[in-house]
Amino acid sequence: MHRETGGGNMRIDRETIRWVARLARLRLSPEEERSMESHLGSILEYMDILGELDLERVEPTAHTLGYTNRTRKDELGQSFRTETVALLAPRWARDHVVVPRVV
Amino acid sequence: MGLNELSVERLSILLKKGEITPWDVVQDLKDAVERDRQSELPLNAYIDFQEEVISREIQQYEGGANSLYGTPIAIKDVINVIGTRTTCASRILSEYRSPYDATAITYLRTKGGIPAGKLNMDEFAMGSSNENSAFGVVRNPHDRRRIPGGSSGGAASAVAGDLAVAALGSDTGGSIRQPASMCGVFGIKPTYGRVSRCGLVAYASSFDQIGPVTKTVMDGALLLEAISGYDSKDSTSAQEPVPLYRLAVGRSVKNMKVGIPEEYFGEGLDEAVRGKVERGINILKEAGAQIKQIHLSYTKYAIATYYIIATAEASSNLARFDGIRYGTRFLETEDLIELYEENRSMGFGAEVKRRILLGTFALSSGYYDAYYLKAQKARTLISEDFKLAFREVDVILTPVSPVPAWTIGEMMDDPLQMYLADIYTVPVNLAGLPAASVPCGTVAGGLPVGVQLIAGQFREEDIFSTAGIIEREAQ
Repeated sequence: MHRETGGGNMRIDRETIRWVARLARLRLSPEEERSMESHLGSILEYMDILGELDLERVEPTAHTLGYTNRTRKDELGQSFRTETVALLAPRWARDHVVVPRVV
Repeated sequence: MGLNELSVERLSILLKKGEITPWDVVQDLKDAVERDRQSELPLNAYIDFQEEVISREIQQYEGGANSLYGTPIAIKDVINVIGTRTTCASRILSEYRSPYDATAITYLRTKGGIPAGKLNMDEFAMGSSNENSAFGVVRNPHDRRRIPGGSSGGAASAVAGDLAVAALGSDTGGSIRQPASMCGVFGIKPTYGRVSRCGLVAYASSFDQIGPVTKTVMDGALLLEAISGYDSKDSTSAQEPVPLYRLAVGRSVKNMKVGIPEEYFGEGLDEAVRGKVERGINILKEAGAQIKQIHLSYTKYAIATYYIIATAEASSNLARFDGIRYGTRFLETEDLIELYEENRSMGFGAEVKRRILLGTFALSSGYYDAYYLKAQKARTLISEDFKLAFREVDVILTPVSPVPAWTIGEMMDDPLQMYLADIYTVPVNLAGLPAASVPCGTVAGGLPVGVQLIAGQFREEDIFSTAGIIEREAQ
């Protein structure tokens, strides 16, 4: 499901909640869907306040210190040992994390 | 008086002289935590306070010349400490054991701090009341039916209740300052980039900062000195030198210019809180500071801006919790998508789900320009507001929270109302500035009220000088 919007003044409905939950890999119970619809509805309605601003000539800020592309040298460094990572994984076998079949 | 009741400043002197050992302090802390556990309404400030873990930490402490000399410091459970559980107060990380130290912890150890106990918090640092924890609500030591504030509620409650000497918290939209204010302790969020974020579990990466929660302003200075500094493992870490903040505490504020933004004193500000903040203004005035009325005209757009950007960043950051590489896998399924959905749905609490959904929505195709991009532009205006203000003044003084600590459960059904209560703290994170909450008396029911001091980028010293004066005079 996909909608176009000019921005603001939108009401979020049950279908949109389900679509967003799917994108976020969350499964909501009918009760959660109902409460999210009501809470997110009022929160998004409040956010329409930004529509009052004239932002056409304003640059967006992603970051306050203005650093860009600070990279380290591509050198070998210390990393976790395989055994350390294995201890963290819920399922692990033969040096690999086990997941359901993908292909 | 138990050693748990002393300040970092006092303890480090006793430790340095060898009059006491770190273990003596931990014993008194342990007794205090145990007594609290048995009380009718426990503070529930810790997720883990394990004697064997702390005892191992003490054994590993190497001593030598440093500034904290083995003072135990409690750590919010969103910061990785090697060998401890780092749960972020979430079910999904309830079994996660940190394989490394956050850089702030590494630096803290170098300066003689000993990590001692992991503190309760709102799940993934999302909340203003510490009611969103998979490990139960935290209570305010000044009135145990009330919230301690959030999300570093465990930190503020433990320090105020003498269950910790001092603590490290984190602040994304007020999570250090607001609980510090509500519990009557000092808390400072440093300039963005001042303290490394490496090892701090990410909520909203362009806002998150680690900072101290302490009994005194001097302790805040000592701890901030210990954890600050450049870290090559955080690409947003600043290379600015770290001053001796302790030298600034209580320094004369004569002729210092203090800005009072009209927009922070309008509708919604509790009258008793206003009274305390005005007292803070008078204290600085009497100490010789020049008080100036200023304007931060985009303030009313800060909540919408913050909650769009923070949730967008959160939805992306929390995508990593999928029950695959680490965390808890509650359920095995045949299908990968189902595995993600089942485990995330069982692992996250309601507020975290709400923020992930909000952020996913704000970033989704068709809505990106209307919400996320618009909020990033509004962020520019809010930052510029501060830049202009700091051409005229050195420090900005405001309330921290429009109201004192509310009753547990009071706002849980109305998330928007809870978000709106962050109005005085979130603009600071949007602009990446340092800000602190310093206690400035109590209102009816003995509830503490803090005053917020905001300074320009990397001007934490201006906060320590003004906060030191208010601390001294407000007692």
